[in-house]
Amino acid sequence: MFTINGKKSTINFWKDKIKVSGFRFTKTREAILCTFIKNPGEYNVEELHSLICIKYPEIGIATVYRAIKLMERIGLISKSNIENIKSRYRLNNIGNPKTYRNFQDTKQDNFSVRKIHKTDSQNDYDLLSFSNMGSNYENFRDAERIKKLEKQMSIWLKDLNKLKREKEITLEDMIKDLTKIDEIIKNHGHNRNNLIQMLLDIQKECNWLSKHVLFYISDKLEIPLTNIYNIASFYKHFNLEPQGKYNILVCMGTACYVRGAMNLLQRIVNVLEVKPGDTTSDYRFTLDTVNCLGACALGPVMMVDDKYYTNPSTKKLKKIFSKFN
Amino acid sequence: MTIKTNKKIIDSLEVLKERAGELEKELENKIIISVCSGTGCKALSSENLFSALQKEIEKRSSSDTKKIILKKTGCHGYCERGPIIVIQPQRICYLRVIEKDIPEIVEKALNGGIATSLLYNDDKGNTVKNESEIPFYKYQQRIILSNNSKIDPESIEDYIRVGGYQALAKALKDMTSDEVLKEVKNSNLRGRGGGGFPAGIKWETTKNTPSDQKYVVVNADEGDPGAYMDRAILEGNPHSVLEGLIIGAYAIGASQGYIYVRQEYPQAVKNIKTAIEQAGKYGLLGNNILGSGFNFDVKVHRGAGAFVSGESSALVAAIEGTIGEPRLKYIRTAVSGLWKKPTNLNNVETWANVPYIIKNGTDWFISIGTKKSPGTKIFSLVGKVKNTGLIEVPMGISIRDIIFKIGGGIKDGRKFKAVQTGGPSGGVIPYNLIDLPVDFDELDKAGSMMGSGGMIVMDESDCMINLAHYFLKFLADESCGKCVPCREGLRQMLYIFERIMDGKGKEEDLRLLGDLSIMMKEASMCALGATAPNIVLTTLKYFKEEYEAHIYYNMCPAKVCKSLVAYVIEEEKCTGCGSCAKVCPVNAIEGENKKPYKINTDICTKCGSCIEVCPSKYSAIVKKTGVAEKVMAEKKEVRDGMEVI
Repeated sequence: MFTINGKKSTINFWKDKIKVSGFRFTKTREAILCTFIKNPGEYNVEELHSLICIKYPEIGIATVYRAIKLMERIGLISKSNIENIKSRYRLNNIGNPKTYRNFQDTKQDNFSVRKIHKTDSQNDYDLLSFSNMGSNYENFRDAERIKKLEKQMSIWLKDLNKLKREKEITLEDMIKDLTKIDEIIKNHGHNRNNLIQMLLDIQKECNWLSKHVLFYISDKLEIPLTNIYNIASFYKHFNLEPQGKYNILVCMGTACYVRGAMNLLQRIVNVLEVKPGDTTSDYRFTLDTVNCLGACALGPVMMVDDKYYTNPSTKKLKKIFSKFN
Repeated sequence: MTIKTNKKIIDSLEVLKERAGELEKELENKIIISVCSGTGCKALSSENLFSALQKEIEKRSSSDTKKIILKKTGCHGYCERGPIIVIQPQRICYLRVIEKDIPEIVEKALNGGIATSLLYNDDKGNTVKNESEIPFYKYQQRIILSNNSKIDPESIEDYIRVGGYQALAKALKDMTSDEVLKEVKNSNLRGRGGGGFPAGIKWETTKNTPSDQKYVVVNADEGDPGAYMDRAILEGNPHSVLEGLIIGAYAIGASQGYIYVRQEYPQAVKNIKTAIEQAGKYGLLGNNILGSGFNFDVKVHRGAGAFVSGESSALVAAIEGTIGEPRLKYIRTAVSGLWKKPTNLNNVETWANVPYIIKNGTDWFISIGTKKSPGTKIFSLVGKVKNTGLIEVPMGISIRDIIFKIGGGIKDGRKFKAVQTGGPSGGVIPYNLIDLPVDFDELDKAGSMMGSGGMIVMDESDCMINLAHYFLKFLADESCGKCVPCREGLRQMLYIFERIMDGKGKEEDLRLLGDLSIMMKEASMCALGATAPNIVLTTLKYFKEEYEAHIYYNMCPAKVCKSLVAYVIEEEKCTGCGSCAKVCPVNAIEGENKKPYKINTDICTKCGSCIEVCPSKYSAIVKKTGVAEKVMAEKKEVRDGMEVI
C-alpha cells in the first residue's frame, strides 16, 4: 500500500469518500490520489500517467483514464474547461464533508436552459459548446448524456420541422419542453411506477409526446426507450404525432351510433377532408372518435374544445369550424 | 388529524347524528334550488344557468337573498329532459330550463308559486309537479342515486347532513371486522361491474390470504360505450363510494386503497380527489379513523384510454405502471394481485351499496330484488326511447316495464325491434322475450347478459348486421392481442361482416361465424374474447332473416348498410327547389330549377344531409335497397323476380 509520511490521514479521508460512493479503493485510484496530494496542481491525463509510472510502471494510461472518469463522476476530481486544449484535472477542495456531493444526488440535477446564439455568417442557430458554460457541469456523466441528447435532438429537429410543416420549431422550444418535464418528474417523486401518470401530465402540457421528450424521460428515469413506446402506443390517449390546435371529438357510443353518428362523421369528413385520427394540413383541427361522452340525450354529439354540438348539419358545421381560428 | 366541528371531534356515531341534525336544522324555512351539473346537463350549458341564477338572486332584497340556497348537484338521471332544476323542500321539478326562464323560477320560488310551463308534460296535457310522480321516476326505486339531487358533491357537510359516514362509524365502533364481513356475505351482494360474483366471498378470500399488506381497488374504468352509471355516482356522490371502500378495507384488513378512474372523466377525477382531501381533514381517512385505531389511505390513478384495462387483472397491471393486459386466472387477484399481494377489486356501484347494507341491515337488502340477485341496479337507458337517462330499478323488473313504463315507449311512433344489453359483451333480446326479468341469471339463459348496465333500445330503422359489426370493430380495436382466439377470431369475423355488408356474403359465412364463435368462447384468455361472440350468436339466433336478406338478396331491410342502399329522388314528389343540392358536400345532386333533381349514385357518400333538408311536405328523397350495384334510380323495376322496395 502506498504510504506518505504524515499524510496517511488524508489518504484515509479519500478512501472513505470512495467507499461511501460504493466503489472499491483499488491500487490505481490510490496512486492517482496520492499523486494529486503530493503534487498539487492541474494535470492532464498523460502527465498524470507519467507521474504515476515512476512508482507503478505497470499501470497503463487507459486504466488511469478510466479511474479519472470515475472519480470525476463521484465528484472528487474536477475538470477545468478550456476550449481546444486537452482537459486538465485537479483535486477538489473538499475540506468540509458537507460540501461533498454524493453520487446519488447528481441524478436529480435540473437540466438548465442553454443559451443559443445566432452566428453572424448564416441565419441559423448554432450550439454553444459545453466549455463556455463554466463549472456547472461538475458531473462528467451528465455532461456526456447531455451532449448525446443534443446531437440526437439536432437530427430530430429536421424531422420535426418536416412534420410540423407550418410552424418551425427551434431547439429552444425543445429544451423548454424538457424543463417542463423536469418539474413533472419531480412532482411524481422520480418513481418509475408512476410512468403512466407522468405521461398523462406531459401530454396535457405539450399536447403530444415527441421523440425528444420520450428519449429524455427514458434517460432520466433509466427505463429503456422500448418500454416507454410500449406504454405510449398501447394506450389510446397518448398522441405520438403533433395535434392540431382544436380537438374535434365525435361520440361513437352505442346510443349515439343508433342515432346516426356515422352519418355525422361522414359529414365532418366531407367538410374537413381528413380521416378520423388525422390532423388538417393547417394544424387547426384534429378529428377523433370517442366511445361515449355521456351526453346520450344529445346524440349524436360532436365536441369541439369542451363545447357540445348536437347533430349539426353540413351548413352548421362550416359555420362552427370557421369560428375557430 | 381531526378538525373540531362545532367544538366536538367526530369520533362516534352520536356526534355524526348530532351534526347531521344541526345541518338539517340550518336548512329549515329555506328554499333550496338545486341545478343539475352532471356532464349531460353541462353539455346543455347548465353552468350558464347557475351563474344566471346567482345574478338573479343577488338582484333581490337582502331578506329574500338569505332565504334561498343555491346548490350544484350531480346527475339527476333524466338526461332526455335536461337541464333540470329542483326546488326543495316541495321537490318541484323543472325540466328543459333555458336562461330566460330563470327570473320566473326565482320569482315563483320566493312567493310559493309554480312555473307551470316548465313542469313535466305528458302527451295528453297533464302536468306533474313533484319529482317523485313523474312517470320516469315513479317506477324506479332510487337508493344509490337518491342523494344525487340533494347534495353538492364537493361538500362533505352535505353528505353528513343526509346521514353520511354513519355506517362507517357503526362498523368501526360497534362491529368487528369479521362481523362486517359476515353482514356483507349474508346480504349476497353481487358485483355490479358485470361479472356478478358475490362480493362477500371475494372479500373473504382476500381476508383469509395471509400477507403483511393488502389492497382494495375501485374499478371506475367504465369502458362500455353508452354506459355512464359509474360516472354519475362518482361525480354526484363520491363520498358514498369512499365510505364503502373504507368499510370494506376495515373488513378485509387492507391499509391502502386505489381508485382507478378513466381519463375521459375529468370531472369525476376532480370530485373524488376533493372528497378524499375533505374526508382526510375530518378524520374519516388517514391515520386513526374516527379514533378507532384503523389506518387507511387512498390514491387516485388515472387511466389512459384502454378498454381492456377495465378487466380486473389488466387493471392491476395498469396500476403497477405497465401496460394493461389481462393474464390467465389460475391465481385470482384476491390471492395475489397488486404487487403480488392480496387485492380486492370491485366496481364503483358495488362499493356504493356497502354503506346502505351496513346501515339498514341484511334483511332490508334482501327484501329488494330477487332471491338470487338482491338489491337495485342502475341502468343507462338510451337509444330510441322517449325518456333516455339513468334509471335505478330493483332486480327482477321486466324489460317491458323498463322500456314502456319508465322509458315511455319508442320514439316517433315506431315499433320496438330489439334491446341490446350488457355493452359489447352482451347480446340482443327480441320482442318475444321482452317479459324476461332483468337480473344476473335470466338474461344469460337467453344468450345475452346484464353486464354493467347498458341498455340500448332499437327500432325498425336499425340494422342488426350493422350493430354487430359496430361492436366487433370496437372489440377488435380494443383487444390487447395477447391470445390468438381473440385477436385473430375478431379480425376474421370482422372481415366476414364487411363482406356481408358489401353485398358479397356467401352461404358458408353463417356456418363459419358459428364455428368462430364457439372457438372464441372456449379458448380466449379473458372475458373480452370469451363474450365477444355473444352479439353474433344472438343476432344469428333471433334475426336470421336479416342475415339471409343481406346474403341472398343483397338487401338491407333497415336500409342502413351503405353499399346496399341508394338514395333516390322520387320524380313525382320533387318540385325542384334545389335545397338538397346546396347542402350536398360532394355535389352529387344535379338538376334544373322547377324540374326534378337527380342524385348521382356513384359519387353519393350516403351522409344523409339531403334527406334532412328536403321539406317534409314533399319528402322526395327516399332510400332504396335492392341489388347491390345497380339500384334503378329512375323507374320502379322488377328485377329477377324481386321487387325493388
